[in-house]
Amino acid sequence: MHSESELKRVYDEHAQALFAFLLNLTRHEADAHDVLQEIFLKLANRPRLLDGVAEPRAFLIRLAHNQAIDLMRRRTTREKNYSQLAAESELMFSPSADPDEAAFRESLAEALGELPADQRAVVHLKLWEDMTFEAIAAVLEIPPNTAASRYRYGLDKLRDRLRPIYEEIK
Amino acid sequence: MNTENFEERLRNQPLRSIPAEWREEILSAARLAVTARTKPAEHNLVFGIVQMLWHELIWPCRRVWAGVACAWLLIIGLNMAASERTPQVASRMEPRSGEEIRAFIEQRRLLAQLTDTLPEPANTRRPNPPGPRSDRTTRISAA
Repeated sequence: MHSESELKRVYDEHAQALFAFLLNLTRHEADAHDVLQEIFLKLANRPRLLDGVAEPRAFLIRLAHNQAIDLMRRRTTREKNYSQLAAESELMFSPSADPDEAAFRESLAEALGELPADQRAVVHLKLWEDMTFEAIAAVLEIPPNTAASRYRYGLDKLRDRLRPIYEEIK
Repeated sequence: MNTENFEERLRNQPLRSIPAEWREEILSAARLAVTARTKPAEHNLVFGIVQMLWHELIWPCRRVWAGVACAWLLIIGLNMAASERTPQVASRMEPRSGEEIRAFIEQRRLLAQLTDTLPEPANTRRPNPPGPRSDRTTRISAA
């Protein structure tokens, strides 16, 4: 990466995906902003960071994941209960005019907040980034089987949590 | 509840968009970082040291530093004022006349004569201190 225009291009291509991932992981808009800014400062300070990277999106998500985990650890030591904060659902999905849809999205956001962060990360990457378990494993630095099992556990919890509203809407 | 349908349902939930104003904020912060990086390294180092000293050393105790600076300015001012006054005093002194110089030489000569004629100062050596008490006892018994 050599110039400001390159940074703009990276932002336009990947910032939305990074924002959604960070918001889901940290459950805090200000934290998502801070981590995103840190990533772009890093890119500005190290212009060769993305040179030769085959999958920039995966690389940036990995960077975002590591930064977010650091931030959450720092926050856990500073604040008493980060998981409680995670359960407070930030607006994760676009608002809907349909009340049923809006209720489902709200419940889904809450249910995601109740998952452990490692399961939440895998579920997000699988569902909304459409990544394979191998790719998720590479990004999160875990074995592919672990990624698959975290996804399965996460999805089971979401299904159990959302079953009433899902059946009702259906 | 069918797993594939459920997954599909989740996948179709539209994620919230990133706030539009973040783009300018984040990119301008990155732009500043790029500008700072492209400046010469030495300039950055010197500037960084000056900035660090200012923030760490000067700024937290700015009143103390201001007081010290005032004291130094006062000292320098007084010093300069004193050094300006000295040549004025010297210049105000009138040159000595030849008569005065001769009188001074005569006084010096008389003083030299007097000091030569004075007797040697008396022996001012203090008497020996008394010896140990045991010696004194022996001397008394001998007497």
